[in-house]
Amino acid sequence: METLIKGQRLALAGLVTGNVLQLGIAGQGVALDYACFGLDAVGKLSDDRYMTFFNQPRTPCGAVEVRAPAGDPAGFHFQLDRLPASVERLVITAAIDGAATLSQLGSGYLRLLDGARELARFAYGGKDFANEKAVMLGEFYRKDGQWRFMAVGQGFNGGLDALVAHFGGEVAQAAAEPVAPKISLSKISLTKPGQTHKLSLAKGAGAPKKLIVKATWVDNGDGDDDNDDLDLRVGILLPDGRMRCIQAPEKSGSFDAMPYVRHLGDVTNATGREPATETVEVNPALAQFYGGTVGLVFSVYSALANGAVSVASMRPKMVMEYGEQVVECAFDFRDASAAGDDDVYTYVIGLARVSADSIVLEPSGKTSEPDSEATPWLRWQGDSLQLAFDGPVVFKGEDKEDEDDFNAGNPRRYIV
Amino acid sequence: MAISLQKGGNVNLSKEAPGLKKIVVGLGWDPRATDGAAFDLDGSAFLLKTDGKARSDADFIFYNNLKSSDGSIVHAGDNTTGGGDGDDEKVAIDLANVPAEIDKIAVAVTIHDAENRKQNFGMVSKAYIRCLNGDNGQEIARYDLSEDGSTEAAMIFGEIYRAGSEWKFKAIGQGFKGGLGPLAVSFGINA
Repeated sequence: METLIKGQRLALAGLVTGNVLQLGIAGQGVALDYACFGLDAVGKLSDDRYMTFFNQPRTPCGAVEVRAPAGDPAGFHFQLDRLPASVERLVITAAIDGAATLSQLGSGYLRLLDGARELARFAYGGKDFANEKAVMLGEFYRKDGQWRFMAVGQGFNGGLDALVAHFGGEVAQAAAEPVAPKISLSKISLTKPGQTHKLSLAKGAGAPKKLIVKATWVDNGDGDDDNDDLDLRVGILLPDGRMRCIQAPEKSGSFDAMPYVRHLGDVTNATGREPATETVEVNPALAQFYGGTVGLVFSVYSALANGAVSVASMRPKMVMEYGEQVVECAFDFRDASAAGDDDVYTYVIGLARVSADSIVLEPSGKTSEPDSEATPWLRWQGDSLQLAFDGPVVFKGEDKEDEDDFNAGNPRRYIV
Repeated sequence: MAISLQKGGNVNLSKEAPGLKKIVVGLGWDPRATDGAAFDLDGSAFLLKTDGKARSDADFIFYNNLKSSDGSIVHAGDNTTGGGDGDDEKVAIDLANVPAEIDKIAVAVTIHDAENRKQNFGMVSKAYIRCLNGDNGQEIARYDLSEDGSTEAAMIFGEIYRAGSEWKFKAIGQGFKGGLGPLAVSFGINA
């Protein structure tokens, strides 16, 4: 009986006749799903019917079957001679569904059996692993016309998705809607209200981790250095109609916890040479966390402390990036009626509807009324977003004390 | 024609490629595709006298000492991941310039930090070490580390040794516990 270590190989010819054998697998301390992948000569799962697991327990040729041997909690039966020549390797994998990692495994083993007779055993435990959530436990492979077995014990932090991607397969996406085309460097620019663009939120290994939104504006050239400070604000419309708001620095939010939108900080000055940028990161799983489609309103606000300035003169716009998908909302406010007005404080630069599979972005040309400090407030109208400037006033710093006075007649409040 | 070597196999280099003056020992492997510490294989060579020991520390050619004092051995540099096509590390040996008191050159391959990283050759994909004719690039001999050295992390691949006026290559394929440090010490190096 051979005790195997990671990396070790052995020939089946000496162990069994006819390449018929069983594999028993056990693992305690974490819940594991086992699967056997039949790979071609370049290491890919070119035929989906050769992924053998609980949903597809037998290969077309019958060479691999999900069947725990007597005495083991899980395992497979193999009749390797029945495999087509196109299958060169069979990789036996374990994957964790959920938050645990393999370092939390108690003890486990994989053993090769000929009926009741144990031929070889590969034992492992949590100390053999770190942050992997999916692991290739062992592999049968052809070499010079003979079958051999290798104890592998190596895997991926990214779990089953990363494992399947390694084998060239694709995990089924939930989206049935058409996917937005991949864009490399070219930007899609939305300049008119009513234009929309849909970004696809891909999932699985390799999907971008963050949805990045940047608002930029330029020095308005009036020679006054102190009045070029705009604040990017994000209003979040929950599926139930309540709203949150995000702005720097007091309500910058969080990426990995409620509200799943994080503002990276207040930038105070555009200069003649360089536009100012404020950036917000949105967690792509927003709709899952909120239990439904979420609305976002992106606006730039000129704080009271700035003094009078025409926001339009600073030409604010926003860019949304998700991996290689880049979309810009660049409505030219200088065309709008608010253009010359120094007392219009809030410009809405874009609206978005975030669902589980996609984000639909549209520019807005809307601005607040002159002298009004009201924030943009969203409502659901069926599946669409309705925008009105009747949200509560939000101040920062020492002006915060005045908020309650301004909001006295307004029933709407942002939730924390 | 390349010969795939099993342990102890013996190839007379001059017979295989008459007029052989230069050898390149090539080491190759695939970068790690799974998550975890990279596989960093290192090739090394030891210039040894008839007693099997080096004359001095300068006779140990490895990633921190790329050239022998007489220029007969040149290591082309450390590859720490296996990235890149073809041989990932190369040691070029100019047989005509090897000093007279050097009787053999031992060639070894080790996995860097193997004990801490808990690695062996079997875990590495497509690891091999081979001997090439340095003049025309033809492969003379090869050892499949992944397959035949699977439980080892350090190995003496072979020896190039004088036999009369010729040079011969002997495949040793012997695993070594402890890594490059103890290996060098065994050859008389202060490591």
